[in-house]
Amino acid sequence: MTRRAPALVASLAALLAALTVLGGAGPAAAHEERPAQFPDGTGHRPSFLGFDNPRQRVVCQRDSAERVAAMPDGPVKARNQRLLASCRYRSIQTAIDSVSRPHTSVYVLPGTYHEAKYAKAGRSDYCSHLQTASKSPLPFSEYIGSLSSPDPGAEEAAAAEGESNPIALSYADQRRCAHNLNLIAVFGDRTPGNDSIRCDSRFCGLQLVGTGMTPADVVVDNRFAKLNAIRADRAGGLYLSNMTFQQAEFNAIYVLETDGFVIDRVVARGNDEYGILAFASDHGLIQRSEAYYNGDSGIYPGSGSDLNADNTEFEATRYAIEIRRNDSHDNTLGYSGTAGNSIWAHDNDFHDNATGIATDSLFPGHPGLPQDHARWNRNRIYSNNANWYTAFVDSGVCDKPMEQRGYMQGTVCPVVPTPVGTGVLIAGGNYDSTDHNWIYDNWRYGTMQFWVPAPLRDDYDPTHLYDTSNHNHTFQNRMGIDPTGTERPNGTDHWWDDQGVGNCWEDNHYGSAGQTDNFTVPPPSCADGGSVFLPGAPVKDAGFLSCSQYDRSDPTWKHPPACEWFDSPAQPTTMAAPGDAASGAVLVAPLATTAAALGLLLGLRRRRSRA
Amino acid sequence: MRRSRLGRRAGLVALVLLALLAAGGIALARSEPALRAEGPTSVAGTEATGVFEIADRTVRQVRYDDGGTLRYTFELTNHDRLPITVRGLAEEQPPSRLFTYTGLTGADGRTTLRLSPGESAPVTLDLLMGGCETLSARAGAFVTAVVLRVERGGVLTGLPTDDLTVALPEELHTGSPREAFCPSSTATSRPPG
Repeated sequence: MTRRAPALVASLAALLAALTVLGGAGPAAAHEERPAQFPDGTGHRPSFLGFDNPRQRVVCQRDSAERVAAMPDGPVKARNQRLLASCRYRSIQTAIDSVSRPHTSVYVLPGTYHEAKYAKAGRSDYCSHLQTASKSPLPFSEYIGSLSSPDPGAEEAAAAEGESNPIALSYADQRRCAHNLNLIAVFGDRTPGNDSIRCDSRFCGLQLVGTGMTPADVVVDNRFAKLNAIRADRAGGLYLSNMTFQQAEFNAIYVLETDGFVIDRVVARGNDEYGILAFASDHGLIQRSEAYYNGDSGIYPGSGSDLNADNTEFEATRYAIEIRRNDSHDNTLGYSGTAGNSIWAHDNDFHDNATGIATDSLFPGHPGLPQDHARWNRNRIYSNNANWYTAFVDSGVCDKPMEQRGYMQGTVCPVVPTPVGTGVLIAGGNYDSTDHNWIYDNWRYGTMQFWVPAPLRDDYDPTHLYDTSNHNHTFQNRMGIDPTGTERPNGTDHWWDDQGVGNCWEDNHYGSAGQTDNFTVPPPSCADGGSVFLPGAPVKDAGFLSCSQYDRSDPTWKHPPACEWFDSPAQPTTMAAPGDAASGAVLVAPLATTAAALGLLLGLRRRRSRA
Repeated sequence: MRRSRLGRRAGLVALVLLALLAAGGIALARSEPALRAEGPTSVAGTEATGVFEIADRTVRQVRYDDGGTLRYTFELTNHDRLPITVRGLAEEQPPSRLFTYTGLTGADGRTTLRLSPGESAPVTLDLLMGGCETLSARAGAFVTAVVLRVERGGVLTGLPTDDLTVALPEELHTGSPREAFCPSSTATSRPPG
């Protein structure tokens, strides 16, 4: 299950089983999902097989010829004209289902694909009664659905007929009932009954490639018909390229338990939760893609294969997923990853989100907690000040039915709380490297790091209490300065709750105001071991406790009274004095109090002497 | 003449004393009884619990058990100069998404508790855990205070001060469970998150 050893697989399984016996939480993503396992790490990242793969299927729409004809002359048009002659399919899924051998390319010609056959297909009797009829029930989950259907009446009608609509399906049931929850589905493991989750079917190495000039030429529009627009499950070797996926309640693109995948030049937009979500996967690459208007994160590499779980060195031995040259903007989070382990994100733009990058150990049930060994470098993380909470949650827009909220027009309905105006947020991570980035114009904090006590992730082992927020390094970043050299300050460059060991912030470059932070005691350098444990020193309140009550659907808790994360921070000025407001307060307040006390004493003495 | 002046003075003094007494009474009625919740604490009705401190907040995390009752025991101490009688929970309690206040009892199981000045006694607050079927799986819920119905000096004044908000020695917090452990959830009952 993990890259490290089968022994760990057994350990994890045993741990999960133990948790179940205890009645505790099992693995879960934002939506209910089967317990996920890490791949064994024997896979590899696939390469593009080109447009001349002899193993191919070609898909087109009625208007594809017209669209191709409208293309400017050149190799792309010529290629599309050639492929058009080979088009035998109107549906992407039908083309996938026809694949007979591994490493087949499905070429998708320009057009909009609703996959109506699968969006509206009736379910078999078995797939309609999974709660009672499943032949492969999950070992420890009850069949309770959580699909927020755009049409609640449909669910009630189904329930009245004794049907059920669970989400936490076993892999076998997902494969058998592929379109219960997914518009397009690729299942690579044809032997769900054995112990291996490795891809072993004709779908291994599948390439799904849009043939247009840009990703906008080939659009898969789910129209909220299914939970996911496309699901690649144990689909080792998947190559997904040059297409747009939109309007899914959960994920536009969902990669699960997959060893070896590439997502290249895709657009993922207008989703209630995630644009691109990879979970418990390895040997992955997400590149040159754009994600926007997503209620959770644009790109989510959660529970990355935990390759460095036992690595106590700062440097990672290997990264499970590489994320490069993407543009993730106008989401709640540009990038996020609960248990986002062994992830390397570089040369990306994360901007105009509520928070640019976040990783955390806040939520139970994610394999690989606590989070460790992510590296973010050479990214531009800026202007993450979008306050969707006030714009769309407080205003009631997010109370409307999903399809009426205007997701394609820029509505974002946050499903999780996050501090508006923050560049990089490490909520309980270890051995994370934030280096060589441009982090500017984030009006609350450039970087924010705080401890997440283990009980919050349902880990009550007292020896784990302080096992997060250790050994993170933030260095060689340009803070409050954009790539042109213009000063665009962050509200405060660095916020830290003073908790954890081995953390350091050094060799960063700051604007004319100098470094702004809230450090009570500046930690030693990285070479000197970073921060140390200070017995009795109070941990600052990052605000996540109060904000944890956030529920966008609840009139009281859509804006928890004590939560300050949803207050829009004021734009900082470039003329700010050295030392941030919070840090300044730490130093100035006692001085002011002392001065005032001295003044009072002197005044009293004078009065007495006069008397 | 002199006698009548003295009489007027005595009357004035009596009036002032009366006014002072009345003001004192009103002040007493308006002032909040000094009742505090303190440790030691303990919980029952949950399979796992842990305590941690962040800033000035002490948080006790408990594992949610749908339909179960969390029993949280702590000490109530009367720091007032008058005896205080606790007559259970007030009608209105602070809002909490996954907890419902259901009762307060003393160590002997009685719902009425009399505390002399300086006296302490253990009490148990019962909180019904429920409502997860309409809460997103990544949200949580707190109970940080309890509102008690109290008599001060044996008097129920009928004023709002009869309902006393007492901050708990720890903030009780639970996370929303996954759906498998939230049996009343339906396909549309829980929002995402």
